[in-house]
Parts: sequence; structure tokens; C-alpha cells
Amino acid sequence: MPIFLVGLNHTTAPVEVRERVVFTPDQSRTALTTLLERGLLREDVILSTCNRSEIYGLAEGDTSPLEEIRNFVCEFHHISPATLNGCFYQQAQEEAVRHLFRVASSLDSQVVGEPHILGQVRNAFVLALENKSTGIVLNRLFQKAVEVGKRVRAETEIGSRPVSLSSVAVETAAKIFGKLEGRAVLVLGAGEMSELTVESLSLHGVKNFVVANRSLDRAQELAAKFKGTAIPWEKLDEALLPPDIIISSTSSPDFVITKAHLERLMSARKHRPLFFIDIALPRDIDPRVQEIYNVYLYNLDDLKSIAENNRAEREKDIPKADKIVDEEVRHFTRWLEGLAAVPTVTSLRKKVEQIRTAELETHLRKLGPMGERERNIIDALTQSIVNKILHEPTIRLKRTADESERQDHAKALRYLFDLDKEEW
Amino acid sequence: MYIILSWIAILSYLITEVLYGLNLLERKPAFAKLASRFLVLSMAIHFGAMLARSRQFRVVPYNDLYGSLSLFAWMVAIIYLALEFRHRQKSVGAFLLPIPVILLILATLLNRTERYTPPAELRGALFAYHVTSNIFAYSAFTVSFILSAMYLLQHHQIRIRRSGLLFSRLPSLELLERMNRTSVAIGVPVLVCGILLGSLWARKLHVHWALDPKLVWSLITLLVYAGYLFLEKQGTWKGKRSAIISVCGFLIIIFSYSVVNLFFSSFHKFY
Repeated sequence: MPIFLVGLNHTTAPVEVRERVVFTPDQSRTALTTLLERGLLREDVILSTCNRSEIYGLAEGDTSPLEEIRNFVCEFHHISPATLNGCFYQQAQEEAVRHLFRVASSLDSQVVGEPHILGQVRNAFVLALENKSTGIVLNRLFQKAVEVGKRVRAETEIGSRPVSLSSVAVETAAKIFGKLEGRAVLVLGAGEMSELTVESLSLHGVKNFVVANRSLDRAQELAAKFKGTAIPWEKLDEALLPPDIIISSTSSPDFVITKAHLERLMSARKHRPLFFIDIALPRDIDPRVQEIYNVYLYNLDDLKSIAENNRAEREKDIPKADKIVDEEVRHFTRWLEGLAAVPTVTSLRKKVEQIRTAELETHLRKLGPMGERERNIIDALTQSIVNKILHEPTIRLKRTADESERQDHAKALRYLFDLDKEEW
Repeated sequence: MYIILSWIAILSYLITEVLYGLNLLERKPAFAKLASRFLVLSMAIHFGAMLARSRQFRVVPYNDLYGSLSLFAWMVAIIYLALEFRHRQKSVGAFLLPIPVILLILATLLNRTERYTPPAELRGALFAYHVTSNIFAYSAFTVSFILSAMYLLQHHQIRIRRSGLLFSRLPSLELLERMNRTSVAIGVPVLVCGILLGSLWARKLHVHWALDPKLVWSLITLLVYAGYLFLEKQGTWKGKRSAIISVCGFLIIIFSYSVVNLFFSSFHKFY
């Protein structure tokens, strides 16, 4: 009964394909149940995000029904198999476990270290659990996967540094101003990049947004989105006084704010710190404004190079993360192999127990009438002998790490104790 | 007895430091909470050590090197604790705690065991308050120095656009500035009291205290930090420049503690 997975992700399938194989929660439930009803699988979980759709299963027989699962996906989403040709990847046993652990640790993500995948793995598992489509193996697998994901985040730098331009800008702002709640932000130009940065700031508790744009309509549109206010471009000078952070992304060919201009304003601002995020090309803010006391300026290149650095830093920790994953995969496979020994152990114990009770009966009868206490002692004596004898072989069988070696041991046990006769 | 207590206090401070460090690296609030508790415990043990020593030798802690260093360490710790409480921020602990730890280790290693009886003029309540408040003020300025150094470091990181480990672990400029202001605001009035008490006490002893170079340097120190508080309110001096003033103030303190004490002052030759 191997663990296996069939799936596709951002590296194997373009977005046009991926969006067609997404499983909504409802679709997941239906698919999970259908697959189980077909009798191919014992347990299954579907992990579906915008970057990946993966079906994890525990096969009923000795081989993984990979072909059937692929066909099922095509059939379920009404896609011709030809479209999905070459998009699927599949893994079994240890490699499937490793894949899931790497996914949960965000090592397989488009942006390594992105934090959402861990929650998505957890949600996929909870959905399958509630749908009663998991059992002892996948339950343990997914619980472990979440643990591994947490461990990797805690023990490596993989998720600790911002790698998107807007989050770099927000992190820097937070290092200047401390808590961002209550800070005032002025947005010059209402482009897409400004919007992303405003969104990040708003997630960090900033509420006071003022948007100035050459076209007031667009300014109002952006302002409305974040409950800010829009002002006409002509009123810019007054608007420069209150803010702590100024995001600029106008399409102006010249500097919108020059050093001389700002210098005049700074004393009216009482020289409070001011952070410029200049994401315009060509630049909006005269780089010489940095020479003014308490003025900080990051332009697009600064943000990009920091983001690049951070990305490189994250990637430096991938080997460390993989080491953790390897370690956890080893633990899990050992557990799984121990589990495989369980049927042999169970039938061995069953057989010995049968012998014990039969012999006990016979000999008690021969002994003739005796008190309850004596009876119990003899019963306990036989039980204790049986347990002591069986303890060592049980442990040894479960602990044998090598798969083929363990199978040999199990086979020998089955032959020597003639276990197979009554089992099947 | 007090030596054992001192080492226990050192150990406890070290555990506290490790906890603050873990809080910084792992960003787990549970560590920070535990760290603060350990800090209070360490300070209690430390206080016990000072008390035990005073009982044993019948001296106040500041009559010799062990005593004054130990008291200094304790006061740095209590000022940090006050800052942590006031600003509800535990990210500075890991940077500040090494100071009391090092001071207390030094004090314990340099400890003299023979009994020491201070001369008559170095006794009395007035003298005690004078010394205690001065040490307290200097502890506050030491804390301010560390915060300023952290400010300058972080400011530099932001200017050169480095987002490395330092940048991500050092607190924000705004917090450092705020904490800095608080510690100087504690130090200045206490130093004023200390100097006044010292003058009163000297007058009682009929010493020509007005000529003492130590007093002159204390007044210069006071001037620098009062200047810090005054200029800090002005926008043009808020931030980096204030931090530099605080660093300068600390250098003056070091100078007045070492050079002036040893070579110039007639009666400020306590350690």
C-alpha cells in the first residue's frame, strides 16, 4: 500500500492549464469521495492552490494507480488528456513524502519561503479529514508535514525576509517609524505599484492615506479603495506637510519634489522624519533630498536590490531546510515501515494467544477444582511468559530499517509460525 | 556567601540574556515574557548578594570597587526594566543586558576580601544619597549610550540600504529614540540631585569643593545631557544628532571617571 501523489504545479503547467484543474472545496469533497468509492484508494487528500493541484493517496493494492488518477483528473475537469500531456508529475513512497514536506516548507513554492502554503496544506488536510477520506497514514503524513513546515520556518531564514518590493518598502518604513499604525501616507500618482505598496501599508495598520494625482478621478478611485482622501494635484504643497511616508509613482518626466522645495517644507514639518518611496521611472524625487536631515529615500533600484539580496539569503538556507526535510522524511518512513510490520506482528500474537488459551483450558481442567485466586495466577503466569517471549521479535521486526530485510524477517516469521494459513 | 550569591545572580542574568536573545532571533513572545521574569529574579538575587556583603563587612556597597561596580550593574538593570515597562518593548533587552553581566562579573572577580573600614568623612546619609544618585544617573546615561549606539548603527543600515541580520534584529529608530529620551530624562534630574547633595555634604565637611575638578566635569556632563533634552525637542536635532550628543556625554563620563578621578581630583578618589 504505497503512498503516492499525482499533481501539477507552476513549473510543469502554464497558468491557463493550472486554472482549469483547480479544485474548489466543494469539488475537492466530491473528488475525494469519488476516488475512494472507485476502490483504488484507501485514503486521499487534495491540495489545490493557484500554483498547484495535487492528489495524495494511499493505494489499495501494491502499486499506485497513477494512470487512473490522471484520467480521473481529466474526466473530472472535462479536459482532454492531450492538454495535460507532460504537465503531471508523480511520486511514490519516500519521494512522495519528501515532496509534501518540501511543499509545506515552502521550498517548492514559486517564491521560496512564502508563508501561505503552510496554511493551504493544513486546510487541504482538514477538509479531507472532515470528509472522512483520510486514515492513519495520511493523517500522520499531513500532521507531520505541517510540523515540518513550522520547523523549517523557525530554524531557517527561509521565510524571514521580505522579497517583494512593497514588503521591502514596508519593512524599511517600520524600521524608521516603529509601529506604522497612525502614520500618515501621501501617495503621488495612482499607478499599480503605488496600489500594491498602499495595500501592504494598510495591512500594517496604516489608515491615513491621501492620494494626489494629475487626474482626480483616478486619485478618488484609489483613495476610495483604502478609505483615504483624494486631493487635486494643485494642492500638493499643503499635502506634503502632514505625511510621514510619501509613495511616488507619477509619470512625470521631471522631479516632482526637489531638494530646495523640500528644504523649505522641512522646517514647517518641524523636521519630523520623512520616508520617500520613489517607485517611478524616471524618478520623481530628487535623490539629493537625502542630504536633508531626517529625510530617507528609497528608489525602485534600492528596493529591487534589497529584494534580490533577501531572495538570495533565503535561497542560501535551502540546503539547511532540505536537511530538516530529509531528517523528517527518515522519521516518517521508519514509522511507515514499522506500520507495515504490524499485520505480521498481529497475526503472530493472535496465533500465540490462541495456543495459550487452548492449553490453559486443558491444563486447568486437568488440575481440577481450585480457587479464583489460583486460577488468576496461572492465567497471569502464562500471559507473562508469552509476552516476554514475543517482546523481542516484535520490537526487532518493527525496528528493522531496511525494507527488504524486514520483509525477509516477516516472511521467515510467517513461515516458521505458519501464519499465512489462517490469514489468507 | 555573597560571592556565591553573586555567581548565582550572574548565571541568572546570563539565562535572561539567552532568553532575550531567543526572543530576538525566534520572535517568540513566550521567551520575552520569561526573560522579564528572569531579569526580576536575577536582580533580586543580585540585591541579596549586595545586602549580604554589606552585612558581612558592615559597609555600604559603594565604598570599594566591588561595591560600586555591582551597584552600577544593578542600576543599569533596573533602568532597563523601567524602560521595558514604560515602552512595552522587549527587543532591546538582548543588547543592553550584557552591560550588567560584564560589570557584575568584573566586580566579582576584582572583589577584595579583607575588611575595609571607610574613613569617617565617607559615612553618613548625605554621602550615601550623593553617591547613590550619581551612580544611578551614570547608569541611566550608560543605557542612553547603548541606545544611541544602536540608533546610529540602525540609521547607518538604513542609509546604506543594507537589510541584513543587523537591520532586521535592531529595533526601529523611533523606538530607540523614545527609549533614549526616557533614560536621559531619568538621568538628568537625578544627577542634579546628586551634585547638590554632594555640595551640601562637602560644605558640612568644610572642604573646598568648588575647586574640585570632578565637580567641574560633572557639571559639564550635566550640561551636555540637559542640552540633549533641550535640543531633542527641536526637530533639527531630533534623531541622529541627538544620538551623537548622548555618545559624547558618555565619553565625558568615562573621562571624568578615569582621568579626572585618578589624576586631578583631591577627594573623589573612590573607584
